[in-house]
Order: sequence, then C-alpha cells, then structure tokens
Amino acid sequence: MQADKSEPLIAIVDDDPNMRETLSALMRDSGFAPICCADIAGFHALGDPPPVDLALIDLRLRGESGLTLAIHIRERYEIPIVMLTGVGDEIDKIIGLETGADDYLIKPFNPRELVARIRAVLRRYGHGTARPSVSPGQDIAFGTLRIDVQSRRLLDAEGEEIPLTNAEYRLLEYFAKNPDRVIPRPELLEELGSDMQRYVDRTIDVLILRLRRKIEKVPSKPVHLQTRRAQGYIFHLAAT
Amino acid sequence: MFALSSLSVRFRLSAAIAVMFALILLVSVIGLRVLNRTELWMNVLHQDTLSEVSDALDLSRRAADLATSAPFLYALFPPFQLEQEAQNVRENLRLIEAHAASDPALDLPLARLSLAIEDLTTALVPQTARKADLTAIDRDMLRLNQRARRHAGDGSLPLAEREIWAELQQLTASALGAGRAEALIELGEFARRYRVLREQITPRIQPVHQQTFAEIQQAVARSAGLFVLKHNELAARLDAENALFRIRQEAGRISTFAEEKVTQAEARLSQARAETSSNLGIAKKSFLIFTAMSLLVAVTSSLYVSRYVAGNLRRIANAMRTLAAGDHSNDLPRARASDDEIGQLFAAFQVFRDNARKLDRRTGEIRRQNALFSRVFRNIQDGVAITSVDGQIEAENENFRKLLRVTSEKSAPPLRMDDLIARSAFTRQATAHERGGFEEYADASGHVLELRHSPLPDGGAVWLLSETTERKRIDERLEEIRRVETLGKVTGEVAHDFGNILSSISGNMHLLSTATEENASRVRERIGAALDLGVSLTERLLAFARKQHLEPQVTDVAQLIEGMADLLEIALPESVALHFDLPVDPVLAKVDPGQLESAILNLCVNAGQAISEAGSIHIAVTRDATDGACISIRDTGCGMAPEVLQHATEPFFTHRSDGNGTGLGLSMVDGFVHQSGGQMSLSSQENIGTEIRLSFPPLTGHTEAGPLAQARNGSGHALVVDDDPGHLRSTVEILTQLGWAVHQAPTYNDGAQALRTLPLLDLVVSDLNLDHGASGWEILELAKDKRPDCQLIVMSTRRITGMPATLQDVAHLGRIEKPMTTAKIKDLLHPQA
Repeated sequence: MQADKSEPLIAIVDDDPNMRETLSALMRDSGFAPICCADIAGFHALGDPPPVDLALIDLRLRGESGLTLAIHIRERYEIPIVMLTGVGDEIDKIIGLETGADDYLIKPFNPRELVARIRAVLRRYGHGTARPSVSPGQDIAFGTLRIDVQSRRLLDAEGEEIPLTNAEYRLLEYFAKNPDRVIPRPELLEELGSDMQRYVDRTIDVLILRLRRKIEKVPSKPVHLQTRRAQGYIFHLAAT
Repeated sequence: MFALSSLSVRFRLSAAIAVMFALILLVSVIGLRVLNRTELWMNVLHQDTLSEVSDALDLSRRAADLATSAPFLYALFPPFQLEQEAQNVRENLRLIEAHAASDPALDLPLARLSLAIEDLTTALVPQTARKADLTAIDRDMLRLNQRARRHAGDGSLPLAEREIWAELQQLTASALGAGRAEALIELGEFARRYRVLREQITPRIQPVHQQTFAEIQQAVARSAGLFVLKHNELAARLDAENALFRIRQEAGRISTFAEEKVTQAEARLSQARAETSSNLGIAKKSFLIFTAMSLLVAVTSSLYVSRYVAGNLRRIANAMRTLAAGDHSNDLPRARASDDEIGQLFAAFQVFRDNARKLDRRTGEIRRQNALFSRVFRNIQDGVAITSVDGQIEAENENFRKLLRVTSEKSAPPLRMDDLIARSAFTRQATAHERGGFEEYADASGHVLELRHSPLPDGGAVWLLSETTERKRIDERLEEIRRVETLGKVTGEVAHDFGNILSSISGNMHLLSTATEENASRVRERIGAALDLGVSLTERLLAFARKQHLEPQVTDVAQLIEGMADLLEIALPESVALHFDLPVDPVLAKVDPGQLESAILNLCVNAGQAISEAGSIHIAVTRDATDGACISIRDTGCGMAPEVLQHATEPFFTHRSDGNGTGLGLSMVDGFVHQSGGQMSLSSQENIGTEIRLSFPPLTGHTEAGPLAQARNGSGHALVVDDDPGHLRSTVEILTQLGWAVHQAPTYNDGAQALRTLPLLDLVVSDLNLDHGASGWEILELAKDKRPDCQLIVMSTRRITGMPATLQDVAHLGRIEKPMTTAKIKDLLHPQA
C-alpha cells in the first residue's frame, strides 16, 4: 500500500475485514490511497497527528463507538470525517456539534455515492482531486445538469456529482434518452424490470418523486420531469 | 260561593263593617225621622185639634146661651128691654157666626137662627101697644057690664026696659069674654055671640038704652077694634112661639154640630195616636230588624274572624310547627280552597311544605349518596385523596397511605401530595404525560403504583392511587411476549426477503464466474437490482423502526401535495377520481419532504387499491386546533373490518389476498410520521371507505434552519425562578427541550443567590409573584444589574401590566402569561448576539 503523494490518503476505520477490504479496493479504484484500521487504537497507532487526509469511520465498531473517535479527531486535528452508519436516526448526533462529522452515508450505500461524497468533502478541505475524465460526447445535458452516460453519473453545473441510486439513474437515463415523448407507465415498468415488482409496486412513483427532488430546482413545479394526465410521463431536456 | 271565595279576607271584613255601619246609620236615620214626625204630629194635634175642640165647645155654649136667652126675650114686654135683649141675642149670633165662619156646614143653621130671631122680635115689638088697647077696652066693657046689670036688677024700671038691660049686659059680657079669650077659637065664639046679640038688641033699643049701647059700640070699636086687636095679639103670640121653637131647634143643631166637631177632633186625635203608635211600631220593628241584622253581621264577622281566619291561621301555625318538627304529613287541604289571603297562605304553605319535602328528600339522597360515597371511599381498594386549592391533602382514605407504605399519623398536619409521596419509598417512574393520564411510581421492592390526578372545578383535585404491581408485571410480560412475537415475525420476514436477495446475488455470482463478457454485464445488472431491493428493504425496515434518516425541513404541506398531484393521478387507475382540498395559505410543518411525498404516495396507492371499481380519493390539508398541519386521505373504497384496522399498522401485515406488497406500507408511514413527531390515525368502515389522518406538530420556532442550525439555536444558560413547583418544572422542561442548560430556583433567595454566583447566564425567567410577597421585578432588576447582557422574561398567571421604571430601558423584556408553552417562549427568545 504505497501512498502516492498526489493521492489523498483515506483512513478506513471498520471492524469488519470484508468491509475494510471492499472499501479499500473501492478507494484505490477511485484514485485514493487507503489505510485500514480495525479499531480506534489502530487509528491512533497511525501517528499523532495521523498522516491522513480523511477519515472514513464506521459508527459501530466492535465494542466502541465511531463517534468517540470522531470526537477525538475533531478535538485535535483538522481531518475531515465521513461516517458510515446503519441507522438513520443517529445522523443528527453524527453531524452534531460535538461530533462534527463532515458527511455520512447510510449502509448499504452506493459505492459511487460514497466516492462522490468523499471527493466533495476533500474539495471543501482544499484537496482538489482529479476527476475521472469525462468524454463530452457522451453527456446528455438538461437544464444546468448533465448526465455522464459513461460513468453513469449525474453532475451539476460545477461538475459535482449528484448521487443517484442505480434505479434512479436508470430511470433518468431512460427519460433523457427519450426526451419530449410521452412515456406511458407500463413502458417504464417494463424498462426498469419486473423483478422489482415485489417491492416496487409503487417504486416507479417513488423513484420519480425522488428524481424530481434531485433534478428539479422546485420539485413541486417540475420543468423537466412532467406528467401528461392519463397518458404518462414526459421529460423535457430544455427548461422552458 | 265561588265568587265569595275569591274575595280577600280584608275585603270581606271591610265589607262586614261597612254593612254594619250602614245598618246603624239606617237605624239612626229611621229613629230620627220617626221622632221628628211624632213631634210634628203632636204639635199639629195640639195646635189644631185642641183649638178646634175649644171652638166647638165655645160654639156649643153660645148656641145654648142663645137658646136660653130667646124665651127670656119672649117674656120681656117693655119694648126697650126687648130691643136690648134682641140686640144681645143678635150679638151672640154674630159671635157664633164669627166662630163658624170657616165652616160651611153652619151657614144654613145660622141663617135660620138669624131669621127666627128677626121673626121673634118682629112679632113681639107691637104686642105692648095692643095689650094697652085691649086693657082699656076691657075696663070700659067691665064698667058698661056693671051698669047694664044694675039697671036690669032695678025692679023699678019697666020689664021691657029691664029685659033690654039684661041683653046689654050679655052683650058686654061677650065683649069682655072676647077681650079675655086665650085662644083664637074662643075669640071667634065670643065675636059671633057679640054680633048675634048686637043684632037682636039693635031693633028694640029704647032711648034710655041708646046711650049705653053707643058707649058699648064705641068701646068695641076702639083703636082697630077689639077682635082685630085680640086676633093680632094671639097671632103675634103664635109667631113668637114659632120663632122661639125655631131658635131652639137651630141652637140644638149648632150644639149638635159642635158636638160633632168635638167628636171629629177626638176621632182625629185617636187616629193620630194610632198612626203615631203604628209609626213607632214600624220604627220599633225596623230597629229590631236592623239591630238584629247588625248583630248578625257582627256575629258573622266575629265568627268568620275567629273560625275561618284565626282557625286557619292556627291550622297553618300547627302545620308549620309539625313541619318544623320534621313531620311532613299534615291535614291541610292540598287543593286551594279559595283565592283569598288564607287560600294564598295555604298555597304558600303547600309550596313551602313541598320545598321542605323536596329538601328533605334531597337531604336524604345526599345522605344516602354521602353514605355511599364514604362507603366507597373507605372500602375502595385504591387509595383516594382530595387536595384543596393550595395543594394540601384535605381527605384521604386508609388505603392511600397503606398503598404508599407510609405509616399514618393521626395528628400530623396536612401534607401536600408531593410531600407525602416524598416520605414514601416510591419514586416517580413516568409522568402523566408519558402514561396518558397517570403517573407511575415504583419502589425498590418492585411495587408499582398508579397515581391519577383529576382536577376539580374549584381548583382542588382528586387523587386516585392504585396498586398496579401485578398488572404491570402481567402487562410487561404480555408486552414482552408480543414484542418477541413481532420480532420473530419481522425477523422471519426479513430473513425470507434477504434470503431471496442473497439467493439472487449468490446465483448470479455463480453465473458470473463462468459467464462470458457479454453475459457478465447482464448478470451484474441482476446483482445490482437485487442489491437495490436489499437497500429498499433496509430503508423500509428503518422507516418502520423509526430509525430512518430524515432531513426535516419547514415544508408547505399543501404545496408539496399540489406538486405531486400529477404523479398521483398517473399512479392511480383512471376509474379513481382524485379530489384535493388544499388551502391557499401555506400549511407549514417540519418534515422530510421526500419521505412525506413517499408516504402520501403510499397511502394514495393503498387507497386506490381499496377501490375495486370506480371511486374517489379526497386529500385535504388543514390546520388543526394547535396550528399543526393535518393531512387527511379519504377513499370510498372497501374499507377495513375492525380486526383488520387493529393490525393495519403492524409490519408485514398485509390484507391483500394476492400477496402483493410487503405489508410494510402503513407501518412505514406510521413509523415516518411518528419519527417526525406526528400522529397517524385510521378510521374505516367496511364498504364505505377509509380515512387516514396524518398530523404534524406546529412549528416551534421561526427557524428555517436545518437540524444543524437547530441544535445550535437557543442554547445557553438559563435561570428559572418560580415558587410554584409545577410551573417551575414545566418551564424548566420546556427550556431544557429547547437546548438550554437550566438552573432552577424555587424561591426568591435562591434566584438572587444564583444570579450572583452562576458563572454563565444568558436568560432569566421569573414568575411575577414569588414567595413571601417578593416580586419577580426584583429578580429582573437584580439580573439587569448583575447580568446586563442577559435576556429577561417575566411570567404570571394574570395579565402583566405596568413595569418598574428601572426596567423600562431593557430592550428585550418578555412577558408570558401562564401556562408556559414552548411556542410562547420561542417567540420571545431572540438569537444570542
């Protein structure tokens, strides 16, 4: 695990070896240098101050709380913290004053979203990282946003990624590839796959709601993702 | 009688007295009048009758005088005496006439009397002259007779001569007889004899005789002649006798008249007497009758007063006495006998008695109720206590202390509820707010007590203490069983679902190892989809567990629903009509908008599925009483049976026969709403429809900030001064919830002390009326002095008016009328500079 100077050093604190492995690989793939710690002591062993650019901490460590570590770091160092948690209602505590985590993600998380969050945090702390190159021909732009079809990402005007789930992305891409056409509901259901039906009796609608929240400036007055009464959905690329 | 009965006693008595007075007046008038009349009568009798009688008597006397004086008149020969006497008689007659002037009945007798007297005097006046002539003739005759007898007896003379003398003697004797006759017949006899004798003598007369004869002739022819005179005399005597007779007769008549008059007067007198006595008799009778009537009226009145008025009054008084003695039975007639005062008194008494009875009954009821209550109070297994307005325990049953395991001291002064509980081994485990109406207390040995507090209208309260140790234990046990059951069910479902997902992943992983590059991408897609499912399931589980991540924002719920209306319409079958009832004004709530949208979508799709054919869904947004947001989703679907409704929010409960859906929909929504601090309520009627209401609490502040900013807002150090422990506690609770570090001061001294010693202080909240008459203003003035930067708030149960001059220049002095609420204090708290 040779850390390239140009690559930001990410400390991964997780008690699950598999998780550490996976995250480590994901970091490396995304152009970061990972350092794995199994517990708080492991993190402390990295040195004082630890030579890391960001700490990715699981909230639940074996026998300890990731919060303790986060508070410790916040008190002593200027190291950004991203936390992983399985439970949503503890977020307030995580990003509360005492802990001061910079961002968080709920498990199970989308790997692309994690990477996007880590990049965003690092950028806030002045670690400009090279983004993966984007081939302009593959982009579908609508409004101030654009879809990077290659990397399956949605980017805002500043090039920041707007995290989407797989299903959300697939839906958005389908819409973007069929602009200005009324798409009936059954067509969408078919496109997204009937294997989702078990849980997805209303997922299309939930997905559209979520998409609107992510792509529309005013979700209650959508300009891109609209509906046609009794017919289906229609996607406008241009904001009219 | 009926009309009489409606008259008042006063009227009746007045009427009786009036009648009596009228009767007496009548009697007096009658008496007066009768006396007057009698007097008048007497006067009249005295004046008229007596004078009449005297007149009559006078008349009678004079008439008698007249009658006696008239014969005397007859006997008087001297003409002057006669004249005098006649004059007297006439005078007498005039007097009688004057007396009888007024009486026409006397006119005729008096006229006759007067005529008779005239006749008498007329007859008597020439009688004297005739008497003288007749006496002279008698004397002559007597002398001539003696001459003739002497010549006839002288023998010497011739016989023839002597015979002629004898015859002459006879002639003179006849003349003498005629002169002395006392009756006209006798006179006639003598006159005839004289003329016969004179005829016989005349031829044989001798010269010697011639002279004597001539002398005889001469004497007889003296004056008017003897026979005429004698006849006149006798006739006058007859006339006088006749006149006398008439005088006597008329006088008698006058006497009779006078007697009649007297008789009449007597009759009148007796009549007047009879009349007077009859008048007097009538008056007497009238007196008697009216007096009797007066007596009757008086007796009736007195009887009425004594028997009716006084008697009834006595009856009422007796009835009152018996009533006062507690005996409600009385013999007074129920129905009102009359409308007068007595009747009214009766009626009033009856009302009074009825009231007394009612009161008695009620008292009895109250007594029974009291007995019942006290029996309940004593024997109820729960502890019961009643506190007064100031919180002191006024009454408690034995069980109260028994349950609290506190020994009771009879002579102890009254305690406050808190003090009593503090003396026991029990400590509060849950507040009334948490437990929905009762506080829970437990002691070290595991006894659990429930304390219910019901405020009374007068400010006091009833406290009910019940031992719930056993129930609590069973409840807990049941709860645990239920929890384990639910957990098992959820775990099983989750395991099953995750098993499916994992199977899908493992199967595809297996395929991936052998797949061609072309197939690999499809396999990876399937793995991705399975992972999405897993993520989705996790999210739902978290939502149900109320542990999902929410990003609450101040959201206009109405606008949010309006914005998703188009999606809802597409998501629902066309046969389902959607109706929105959204207010124009924003209805704000602090919720995660994305999750709220999902929840509404879920509920609407649920509702759509409940509608088998055509139907409608109404979505309404309103503000509830506390200004919170309320969303109502009402469908006209098949509804739910009560037992279905009961389980509707349980996880993995699905009523759908086709097995569609995870059964997490409602439980998810429920979890989300509760995690957002709201409430979800369901009401449903089979075949009519279902209504689901989501309500969210009102905004507690003006902050638009997210959770991060909220956490930082309003924090600081606060001091609360209040002598009322309840208010102190609630204020402290509110401020603590708002993130303040609160120091509490239950007295003025504690507050002042805290102001001097506390190192940090940003807010001072004080009650206006503190213990021992101290004022909240003093605390605030002290705070202004010691902590010039502090924010000051004064609170009171009353409207706060006026402010000490020293505090006028404080920029942000807040006033709060109790009760204190989060909203009220939030309004006053301004961000710290």
